[in-house]
Amino acid sequence: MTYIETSSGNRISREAVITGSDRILISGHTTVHPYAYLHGQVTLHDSLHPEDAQDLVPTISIGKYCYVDHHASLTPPAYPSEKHLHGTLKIGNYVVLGEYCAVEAASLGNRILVGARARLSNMCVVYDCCVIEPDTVVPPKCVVPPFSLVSGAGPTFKVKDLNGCYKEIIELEARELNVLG
Amino acid sequence: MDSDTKVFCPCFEPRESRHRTTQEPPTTMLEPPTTLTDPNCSFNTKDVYFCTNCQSIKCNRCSEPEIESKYCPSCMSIARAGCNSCPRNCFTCPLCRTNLTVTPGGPRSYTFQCEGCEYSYVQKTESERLTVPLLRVVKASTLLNNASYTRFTELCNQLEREGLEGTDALSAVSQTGQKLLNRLPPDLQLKSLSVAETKQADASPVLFDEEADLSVAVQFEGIKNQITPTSQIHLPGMVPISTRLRTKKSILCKLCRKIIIKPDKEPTIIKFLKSSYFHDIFPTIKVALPANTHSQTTNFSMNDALSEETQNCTFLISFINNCKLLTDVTISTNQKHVFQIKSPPEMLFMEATIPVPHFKLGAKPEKLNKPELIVKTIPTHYLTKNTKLARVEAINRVGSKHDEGTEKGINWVSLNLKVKISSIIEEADSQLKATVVESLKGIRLPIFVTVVNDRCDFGCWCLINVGKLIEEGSHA
Repeated sequence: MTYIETSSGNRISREAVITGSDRILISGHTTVHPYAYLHGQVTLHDSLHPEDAQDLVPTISIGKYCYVDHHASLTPPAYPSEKHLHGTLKIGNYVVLGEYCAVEAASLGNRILVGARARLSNMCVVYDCCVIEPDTVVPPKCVVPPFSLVSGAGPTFKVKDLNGCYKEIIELEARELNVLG
Repeated sequence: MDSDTKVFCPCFEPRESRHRTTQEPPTTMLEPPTTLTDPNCSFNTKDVYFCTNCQSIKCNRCSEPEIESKYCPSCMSIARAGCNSCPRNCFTCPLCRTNLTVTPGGPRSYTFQCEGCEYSYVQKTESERLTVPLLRVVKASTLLNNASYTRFTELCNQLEREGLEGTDALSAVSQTGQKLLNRLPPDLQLKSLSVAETKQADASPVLFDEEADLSVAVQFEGIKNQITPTSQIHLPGMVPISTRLRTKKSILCKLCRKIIIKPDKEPTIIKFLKSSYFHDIFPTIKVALPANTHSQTTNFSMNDALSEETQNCTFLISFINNCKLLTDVTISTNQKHVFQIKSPPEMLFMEATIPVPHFKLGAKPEKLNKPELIVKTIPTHYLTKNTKLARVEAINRVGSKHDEGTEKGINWVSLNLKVKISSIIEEADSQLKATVVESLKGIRLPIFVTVVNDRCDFGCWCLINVGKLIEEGSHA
């Protein structure tokens, strides 16, 4: 497994599937593992970009110290009325995306842990310091407030309170994962 | 995010023995608290607080929450103090608790559509423009459309009407009762109450009247049709639920009433005005099997749980300082921990040996902004070979181990923890062995950890999950 290492400290696997790489913005110290799928080649909604500047607006923007694990998929959210048009996907700093997780959310805040095989459905918003447990399905347009522990799918979907010390724990976890690979 | 170690809170301990659990233990022999093995008294280190005034651990039982602000988790707006649900148009699905999308469905109706399931609801309004919040309209229609509520009202009205008509209703009730008695078989009729027997002689025999019964049934059917709700969903409780508010809470110490945690009132701000979490003061304790020596070091076999008299296990225990202060750590354990299993009791003993009971943990770096610095805060056992930085660091640390396997980093220390497990049973059948093996999986070794730095001076019992490691080692 070979990685491309950029001057800003990003490590991108050569086996990662990335479309529209010129429209994906990664801040730094971010690791993208093999077979991760970053779908940046989408048509943005007219309201999101000025005329004739479609290519200048990034469709996926990822913050610092993020970690995208194997087979994780990132797709900008689709508009419910016009499925071929998409919004932008914004991911904050210190976000860890587990294996086989699928993200179609509108925005992810800072310090978020997304467990393996979790699914963040279309247009959902996750605020800062949240833990999404493995195999969770966050429904479309759902808003997850700060310091939440999210678990379950469908009728078992639950949002619980998370202790404030997770702010430091998640940050440290994201930093360590980027160093350890 | 699962923790290997749990921390014991002595708040359930009887008063006379509580002082022993919070202060420094006696040097001769440790007496563990009586509730040490109670699972309700041990907590994850991330879920408890630390009171700097009392210098003790605070669990959810010995701390008190105080609501700072209430907000809607859907629209993130702050609500008034008296509210329990969002005063705006935020609703959740009664089936899957997902947020509902509210759209005007027509001139005098609103459609609630669930994004997570097929649930939908149409709310009709009296006027085209809403003069009251939609929440009130839904609540009012909930009462009107609630079948049980309407049925109760109808029955009350019926009783009132019959009461006005005089004693006809009461006589009808007594006649119906008599009819039911007559339907009973003869032997059961004889066993009826003595009061009924005395009255039977005076009462005239009433024959079964099918027409009267049918008329009553038709009457009830009519009432039933009248109370059927007109909305799409007929079951009670299937109307949209207004989103319940979430709270931002301060945490107070129940003993000294000092604030332990105080968050910012704004829902989207994650800043704390005051915070004293146990995790920030107490070092993180990680336990693992020594690398590359799974089967050699851990001689214990789960399948031969009682085949040898004494079995030895070695674990690597790492202490990582989360505090930005130099910290003195002292570890102690009781000489022989009796491990109780269901039957027969007290047949397994666990004895732990700590090679270095006292050491200093370096302060956590002020800013972990460089990868070269982050890698130095990770114990050698947890370094991987996936990145160049981790590989270089692992090579640099070769030969840094001191005597008895002790290793020290900038803010961490790793030790070899030797555990002896012995039994008093000489002969054990297969069923007993199975019981022991099953029980061994859940064993936790208690150690007393004392932490001293400029901010705190306290000690507490920790429970290390060695059972999980024994199981891992025996499979390796």
